[in-house]
Amino acid sequence: MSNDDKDIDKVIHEPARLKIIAQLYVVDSADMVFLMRQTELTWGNLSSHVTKLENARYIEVTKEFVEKKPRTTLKLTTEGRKAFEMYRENIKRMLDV
Amino acid sequence: MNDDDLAKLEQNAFRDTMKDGLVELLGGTMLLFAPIMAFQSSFIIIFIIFYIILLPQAIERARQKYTYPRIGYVKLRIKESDTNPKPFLLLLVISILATGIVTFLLTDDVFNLYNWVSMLPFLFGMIMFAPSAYLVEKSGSKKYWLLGLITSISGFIIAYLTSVYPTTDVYEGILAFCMLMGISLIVGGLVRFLYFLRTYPILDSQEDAVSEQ
Repeated sequence: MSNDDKDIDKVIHEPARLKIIAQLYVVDSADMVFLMRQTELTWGNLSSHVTKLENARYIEVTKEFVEKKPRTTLKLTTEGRKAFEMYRENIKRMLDV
Repeated sequence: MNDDDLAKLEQNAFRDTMKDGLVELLGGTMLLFAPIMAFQSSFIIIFIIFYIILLPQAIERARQKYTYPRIGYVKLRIKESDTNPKPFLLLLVISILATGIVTFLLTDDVFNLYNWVSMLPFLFGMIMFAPSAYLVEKSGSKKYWLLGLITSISGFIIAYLTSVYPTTDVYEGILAFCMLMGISLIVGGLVRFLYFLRTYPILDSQEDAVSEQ
């Protein structure tokens, strides 16, 4: 196993954020309620990690009103998608003996 | 997080979209009224508008009111393989061949168009393996094979009864098949919808609290 962890994206390499980004990777978009159920994070925890991913430009956040109720929809950006694929490659390389 | 893990996440997301039973309601309604569209050409435009515009909009409105507040909103990715027609065309060829074989076994005459029309329930039943296979692949749940199996067996039974007890109207068999399948899907969809409403309460979203401030 390589000791070089410079290639590991620290934004993604956090369990909660990894769950969020993995979930968004397999869909086109999803709202916070869906992500909360799938990741089993609390609302505050989820919001905090979403903000970090948004600041890193890995996800785009859209807020809108649907049937007079607010909905926050999240979508992986192209950069986010590439970053996740790179992260997976690097982890795989690190784990390959 | 390997490819299998990601595949499971995608299947979970797909299963989520099926939980409310509204897809079954949509499919059942389409099956129930399809024969009218097919056999009464004057209704074609009305039903195309109904099927393509009104019904999907009604389903989406129902989802916005009942489904998304309970389990959240997700839009699935559409892959290239989802729009590839080759598997469906292959299934269609197999279904037609199987129908030919059944027609021969039951009537001894595959060149009589009447016999083929009376076998339409079986053909349609076999074609239902297409959505069956799609649902199995997308959801990871093998129970969806039952859809193709039940429709094929039902189609065969109706076709067999039509050949043994011929009717004055050759289309009665396919009408009976569409009604039976349509009503079954609608009832199944309604049961699933009511169970969904009971099982999943509306979540207290923090977004509501923030917006009220």
